[in-house]
Amino acid sequence: MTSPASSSEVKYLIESSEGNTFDVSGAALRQSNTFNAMFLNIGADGPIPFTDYNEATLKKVFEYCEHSVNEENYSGPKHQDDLSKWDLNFFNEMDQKMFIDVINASNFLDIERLTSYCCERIARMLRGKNTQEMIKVITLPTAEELEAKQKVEEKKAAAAKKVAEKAAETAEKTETLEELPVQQLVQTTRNKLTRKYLSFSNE
Amino acid sequence: MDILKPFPILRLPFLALEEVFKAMVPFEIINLSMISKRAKAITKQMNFCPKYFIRLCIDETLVIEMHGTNRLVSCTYLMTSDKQMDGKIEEYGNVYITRSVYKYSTDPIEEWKQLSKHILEIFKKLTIDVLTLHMDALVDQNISIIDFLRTNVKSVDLCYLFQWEEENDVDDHAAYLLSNLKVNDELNFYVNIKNDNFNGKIPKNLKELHILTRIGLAYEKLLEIDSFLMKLMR
Repeated sequence: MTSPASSSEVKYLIESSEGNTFDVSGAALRQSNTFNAMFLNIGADGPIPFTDYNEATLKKVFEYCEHSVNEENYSGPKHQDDLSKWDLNFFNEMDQKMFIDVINASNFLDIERLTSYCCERIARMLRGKNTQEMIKVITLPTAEELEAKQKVEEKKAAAAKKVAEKAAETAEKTETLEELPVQQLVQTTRNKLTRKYLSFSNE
Repeated sequence: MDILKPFPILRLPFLALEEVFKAMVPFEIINLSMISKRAKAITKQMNFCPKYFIRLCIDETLVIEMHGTNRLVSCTYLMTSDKQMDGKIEEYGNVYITRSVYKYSTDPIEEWKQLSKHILEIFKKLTIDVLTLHMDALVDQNISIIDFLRTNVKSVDLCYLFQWEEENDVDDHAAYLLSNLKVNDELNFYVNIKNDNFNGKIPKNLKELHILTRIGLAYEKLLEIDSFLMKLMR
């Protein structure tokens, strides 16, 4: 059910990464600049494949678009405190994985309003924090942790080196032990053959 | 979503990351850029950062002032050698917010240089918007500060040169500054020059030049001035 008509009644079929399809209204889809650039004028023949994103993420993104259809045109980022109750609920009920997926999808679909609100929310996590506090938020290891990790790795490498050296030593010993009887055998055979040759030549 | 839970911000797509940076004030951007080399490299990629306004002030307290693109928040670092003041934040204003943070160091001048260098680097600023220099505040450090500016700054749009006490002789330092730093738009030269043969180069093609009347500039020097507007101040 896809057509290039501009009426908000028109529904488009969206295909997710699972291969599932679902309806989204034209008005909601038009908030996506990516969609506008790709399909608005030419229309879509069949479901529109947004197969990099799963169904839950896409439904969440278009839920936001459907909700903000009637809001006034987007005019730059709005302060987080000015968000409506619905907006706050929308963000609060997402877990972190879903939030990241929504940002990625919103970024790909180029939905300015949603991207901006999500990013403002992230910026809020860093508000008023110093470098050490930011490290905790961004989950990066601190310099001390990195140093400790490096020390552990160095110790591991040294231990592995020792084990390898020991193994090499043992292998060398085994080699000489294994080689001895063979050499002896060769020597005795050689001696026998020499003796035989000498006896033949004497005869 | 729990906003207190750790969040891998630096792994976001670039455009989203740029939006996050746009929503941050300069202090937060600087703190973020200090987290790691990767964070610094990402910060340097932000295209809007060179539009930030930067003012360096050299007085008894060394200051670095920054304004974001919306000019609604002004962030100021104040260098201090008083450990008790470290991290203290002062904030005032409702619509236009001025926020100051004290940064402690045993060597505030060196700390100021390092921080200025970092800020100029991450904001990709070759030209600073305003330089205010009180020539007799840190006399012993004047040459080293001017050398620092010469090395790290290509030019200054607006330059204020002051001195607190008239009797202090800072002619040589003022001349050294004018010879080594390019001023683009406006020079406010409020230094009391003692030497009649002051050999400082007054910058050319200025939009405005404000100068004290009692400055002993030679007639030839005055003839060299070609600013669009020149104000002689008492």
